[in-house]
Amino acid sequence: MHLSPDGLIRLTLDQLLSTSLEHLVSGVDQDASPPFTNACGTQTVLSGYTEWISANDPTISIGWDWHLQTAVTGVRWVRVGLPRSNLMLTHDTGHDTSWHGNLEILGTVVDALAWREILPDVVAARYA
Amino acid sequence: MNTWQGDLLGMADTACTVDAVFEKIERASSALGFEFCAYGLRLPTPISSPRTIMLSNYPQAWQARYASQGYLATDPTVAHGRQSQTPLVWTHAVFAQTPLLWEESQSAGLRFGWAQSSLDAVGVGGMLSLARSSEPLTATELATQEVKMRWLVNISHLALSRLFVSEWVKESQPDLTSREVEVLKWTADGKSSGEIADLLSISENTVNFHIKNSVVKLRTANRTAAVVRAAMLGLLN
Repeated sequence: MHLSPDGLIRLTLDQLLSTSLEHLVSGVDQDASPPFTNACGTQTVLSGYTEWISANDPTISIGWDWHLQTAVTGVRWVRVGLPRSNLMLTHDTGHDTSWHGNLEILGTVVDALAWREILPDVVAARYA
Repeated sequence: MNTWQGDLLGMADTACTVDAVFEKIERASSALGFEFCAYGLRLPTPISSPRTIMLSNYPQAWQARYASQGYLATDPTVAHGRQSQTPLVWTHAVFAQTPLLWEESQSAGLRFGWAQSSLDAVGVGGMLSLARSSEPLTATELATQEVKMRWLVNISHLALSRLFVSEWVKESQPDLTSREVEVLKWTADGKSSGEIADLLSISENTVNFHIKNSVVKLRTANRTAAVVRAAMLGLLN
């Protein structure tokens, strides 16, 4: 794992999955979808962002957007779109993954993190 | 990438057979220190009897015993997976209500295990169980390996659901209009046609027209079944 001159940290997927990532910050988006209405029963969307980092140096950062989705079993926290990161995953040969492919794979890593388990408490505490 | 992670990523992107996918899951499980693995996939419909697909390298005798005793219905790890996507480590306490199942699985060599379920946007549930005959899972092992195990759950679901679900989704995704979805959402919230008409500022006849079209498109018998089916398919999210 090293910081490259282009500002990206290069590492393999196995190295990333072996790295402990911790929650840094999360927030809820302001409801900015017009038209605004105060009508009773109006449907709303709850969405937000979160960023997780590594404790080691250079610091890995992965951030992504989420929204709350109603499901048969209750409310689900769902990742929206691809993550943002200062990481570039490399093949075992040392070659870079394509940027889009990189973000797609980082998405599968995000989905494996325990963020859905801690975010309800983190968000509730921030806006309490 | 020729690591087990690279193998799994490749299979999520390309066409593979079910056997080939499961072979890679077995390889990954082995690399993570588990000699046994099982993957169960559950399609959300038909609701009265959802289709379940089981893939496993558990001992044949145990697989037969598990099926003949109908343990799927009482297995506490499966029950947990239906309620929560939080990983579960097998313990005496987890199996407290099913001592015979616990005792028999121990005898079959499935002594220490870990399981996690996943649920995707179209309501397809999956659960990966990893097990071994010796060495309990320690806190240190979980601290260093659990993200890899959880990643294996996700990527396995992605690869297997692509194989099993694509046809099912194609068959069951009706072309609902946004208005029909909106009306179904309010119906799901228990609103009557008259109440929905007031909420959307349209006539009650128009509401009923949208509901009738939805019932036909969803191939259901009435509005209740249409709402349930639409919800199960994730169309009301």
